[in-house]
Amino acid sequence: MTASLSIAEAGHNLRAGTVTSVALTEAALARIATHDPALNAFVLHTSARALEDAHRADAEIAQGVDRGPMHGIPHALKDIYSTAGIRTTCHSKLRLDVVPEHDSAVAAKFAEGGAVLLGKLATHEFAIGGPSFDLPFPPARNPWNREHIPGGSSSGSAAAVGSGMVRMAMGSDTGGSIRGPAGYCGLVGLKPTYGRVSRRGVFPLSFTLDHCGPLSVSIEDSAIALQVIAGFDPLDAASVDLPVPDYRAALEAGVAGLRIGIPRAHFAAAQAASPEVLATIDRTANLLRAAGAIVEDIVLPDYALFAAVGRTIMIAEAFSIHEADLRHRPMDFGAIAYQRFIYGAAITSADLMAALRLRRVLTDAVDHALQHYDALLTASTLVPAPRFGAVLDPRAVAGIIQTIQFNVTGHPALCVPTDVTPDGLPLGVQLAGRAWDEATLLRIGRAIEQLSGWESRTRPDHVTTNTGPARG
Amino acid sequence: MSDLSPAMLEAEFQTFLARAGMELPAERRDVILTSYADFRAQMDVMHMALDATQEPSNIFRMQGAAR
Repeated sequence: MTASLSIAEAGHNLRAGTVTSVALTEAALARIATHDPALNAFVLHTSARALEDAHRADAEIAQGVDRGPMHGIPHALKDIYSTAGIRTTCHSKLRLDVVPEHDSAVAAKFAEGGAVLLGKLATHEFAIGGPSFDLPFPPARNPWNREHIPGGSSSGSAAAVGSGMVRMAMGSDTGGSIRGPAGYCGLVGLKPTYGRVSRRGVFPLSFTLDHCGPLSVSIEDSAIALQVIAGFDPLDAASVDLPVPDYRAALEAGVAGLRIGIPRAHFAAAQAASPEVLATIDRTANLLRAAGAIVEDIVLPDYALFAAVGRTIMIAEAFSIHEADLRHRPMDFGAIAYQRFIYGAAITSADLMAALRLRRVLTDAVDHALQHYDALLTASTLVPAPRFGAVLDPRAVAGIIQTIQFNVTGHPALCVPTDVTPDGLPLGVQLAGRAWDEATLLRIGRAIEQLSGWESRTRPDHVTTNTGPARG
Repeated sequence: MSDLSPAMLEAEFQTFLARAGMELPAERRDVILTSYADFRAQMDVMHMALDATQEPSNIFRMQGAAR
């Protein structure tokens, strides 16, 4: 029972003395022991540390010490977040022996907040190269059907939360690596505004596109996680010194009177878009209208421009990070990461400057739209989670998610689950909002959670086992 | 640029790699060269006419800069 408590419920019960952090942690560890062998969500379990953290939290809470809403609550981190004294591999052969001396800013905030670290989570190699079977650890699998991918790059985060091992895990998002897995695994995935959450100590994929954020079971869980990790960090060059609001204050305010724009051409014109995804966007729009929101189609620049700008900047920045290893240790990269990075050698100054100049144009266009609308409603994943065999060729995954536009512009974006296909795979939608206004996104997301019926949906309590070979 | 023949695209990419001091591992060569055309086509999408006054996103303000 303790494993199914929301973060807020668990926090309330901890303070009421009706549950202990040790009990929460032992329940999580038991669930991990049962399900992780089939899902490969974790690359490292930190069970002993978790129980130490939990005993400490219980002692502190018993003494009246309250470190905040994650005090005594289990969580887990994608294995690109540096953790002091705990191996941080980026799921790569190139970093198998790396043990950081210092916590990343996010890991430190959770530690200071008394949260319990269950372990480090699988990722696509360097947050880009996957799913892949040529890496030191196997790829994470989708808890709704393990023959299907969980998405990436925050693959282990999605598998862990989606299977109920933990209510919230941290991911990172450079082109959709939080929102894509959230969509494929029926989760809430939040990419905050660029600069809202410190990137310090998180291994970079692309300096100006990287964002840190949570994947969680519910909107409220993500609001709580953001409350803990948001805030100015003078040691992160992108961090902005702005007040952090109470992200739970307006969660139940509803959507009456809010204006929501739909950049329909982005997903409606996409060759890959599935009928189920198009239908769930329309259904969500109608539910929001019925609840009093004003929902209208709008026009933004072509999605292809956002995608080209995002890829150019991402690969140029990543190439500058990995250049020496690409030259001297090419076979130590998995095939997918290597292929994605190596094109950086062919990006010209004209390509990069075109991308940077268009980035400003595209950001202004989204800002302009958000002067008239409180949020945008669009697709995230264009299809339900594909089978592993369908995506092992990296060319096959191009164009099946539409999330990089808000990495290019830096606006906050949120994936919200809405429905399940007849085949039993989750569907979701994406919201994007004004810079620094995550609170409005969470408010609309909370309304969708209620209006869609997702909140009361029975979630899978076990991992499907009717699997054949994952390859092919 | 995207109307280059496959052979010309391969020659172009190999030139870029040589300039970077890199060489494709043989077992990864074919898939990377095949996909290079898609990559170049995506780069070409961005080369539209931009007004000279349209500045890049990394223009910065000195106000607030660490000194």
